[in-house]
Formats: sequence, structure tokens, C-alpha cells
Amino acid sequence: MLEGLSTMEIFKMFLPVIIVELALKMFCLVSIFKNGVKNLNKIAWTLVVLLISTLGPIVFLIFGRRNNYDD
Amino acid sequence: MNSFTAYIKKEYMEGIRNFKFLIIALGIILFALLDPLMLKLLPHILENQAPGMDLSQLANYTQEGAIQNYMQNLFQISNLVIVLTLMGLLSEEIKNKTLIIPYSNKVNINGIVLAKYIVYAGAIFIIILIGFLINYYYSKLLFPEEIINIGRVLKSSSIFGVYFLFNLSLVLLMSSLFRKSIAAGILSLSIIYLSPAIGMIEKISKFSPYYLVNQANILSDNYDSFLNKSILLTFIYIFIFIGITIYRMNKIELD
Repeated sequence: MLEGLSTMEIFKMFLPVIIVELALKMFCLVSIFKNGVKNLNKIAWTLVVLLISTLGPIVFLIFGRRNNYDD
Repeated sequence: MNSFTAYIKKEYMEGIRNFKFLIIALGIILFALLDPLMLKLLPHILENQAPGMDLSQLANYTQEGAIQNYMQNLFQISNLVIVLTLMGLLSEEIKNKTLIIPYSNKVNINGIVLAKYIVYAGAIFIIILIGFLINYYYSKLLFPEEIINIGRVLKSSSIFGVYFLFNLSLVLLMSSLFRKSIAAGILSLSIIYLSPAIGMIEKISKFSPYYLVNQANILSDNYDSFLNKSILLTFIYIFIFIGITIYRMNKIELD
């Protein structure tokens, strides 16, 4: 698809973004199933985190994460 | 330890515990990584979609263009992330009644407001600087043809930092005015996103903090002579907003 660039070159370019994105998704998923959620249910937040790149985890951390005051 | 240092420490710990620093860092630094990549891949993607099309007019495929793209995203998306993260800074405390104990002990309210501002202002300024440095490094790797001086990028990041300090003071003010944090957030975002419209009116554009965004985008040493005055003016706005916030917090009734 991307002429002039090998798959390995493209992968290397995206590697830092992939690492940050995966770490963030993992962190959010652990938070969803360990601490619980608010505003939407667990399945909905899991889908938001997994399917929406970059902004999905950020939206979850702002609106979906359960904190101490919510109990 | 005096009470002000204790407030600073409390805000710092709360920022870490509630992941506010993490969210702000993500909202600023992720785009520093993504924007140069997108700019690098854009011609390749478009070439496949529309073969033979002149792509040179579509975007500035240089390091300067990558940094300017990043600055656009800082205004459009990072502002949104910062406001949504910090909109409950005071309103959540009022709503959750966590201020009742300090208020009933007659502690200095000015210290509470100032500690919040100083902690998040410091964090935002440092994160923006890191974001610009990452963006500079990454765009330098992807666009090695025309490398710009790092000093110019640092100047732009400082100007952007001052602009974000203004936005933080605005969010803090709105957060003290509304008990619902979402109302504070929506009003702050409306003001921030409408400010480019003020920038279109030539006579008053220089007096708007958005003028700093325009100047930061120049990315050269040819800044407008009004820039220093504009930075000073922005600091005056910040002092006024914090002053009103402190006044409001001293008058507020916690029921």
C-alpha cells in the first residue's frame, strides 16, 4: 500500500505509538474490571476503550473511571 | 510544614491518585508522536487514493509543518482534554463537601486556590515542553531535509505554555462558579473555542490570549513586536481570574 516504505519501516515508525496505545488500553481494562465504572456499564466502556483509538481510553479515564467519592 | 506547602502536596498527591497528570500527559504527548507520522504517511495514502494528484499544495511536508500540525492539535484536542480533566477542580470539592473541614477550621482559602493553580500550571507547562521536545525529535527523524533550530521550538512551546496557563485560570474560575463540573467545562470550552473568532476582528485580536497561539505558529524569530505586551496582558488576565476565583471561594456557602 505505502510504496517506497517496507512493512518493517512502517512498523518501526509506529512502534512508540503502538506501545503507548497498548499500555493505555491495558491500564484502562484493568481499571474497568478491578475498580468498576460509572456512567456506562463495563461492557460499553470496554468497547469504547478497545475500539476507539487514543481518545477512547482518555474518555474512559475522564468520564468512566470510578473514584473514591463515587462509593 | 506550613499550610500552603501542605496544600501543594495534597494537590500533587490527588493529581497522581486521580490520574489527572496522566490524562493531561496523554492528551498532549500522544499527538506529539502521532502528528509527524500522519504527515509522513499522508502523501503515500493519498497517492493510492488519487494517483497523479499534486499533493504538495495540501500540506507542508517538512519538520516545520509537522510541528505546526501538532500546535493545531494542541489547540483543538489537548484543550478539550485539559478542560474536561480539570473542570471539577473546585466544583467537585464543593459538591462532595470536601472543603467543609478546611472551611470550618478557618484555613486560608487563598492558599487552597493558589495551590491548585500552581500544581496544575507547573504540570501543564512541563508536559507541554516535553510534548514539543518529543514532537521535535520525532519530526526531525521523519523529515531530515529541513531541520529547524530547537530554540525556535522551545520559544513556541513557552508561548503555548502561557496560553494554557490562561486556559487553566479560566477553568478554575468557571469551576468556582458552578457546582456542576460539566457546566464549568462546557462554558470554558465555549470561550476557548470562540476566541479565534475574536482573533478575526483586527483591532482587538492582539488583546485576546488566542493571539499567542497565532504567534507560536509562526515558528521563527520574526515575532510581532506586540508579543511581549500580549504575554504581559495574558498574565494580567490570569491574575484577574485567580483573584475573582479566590473572592468567589471566600464568599461561597457550603450547605
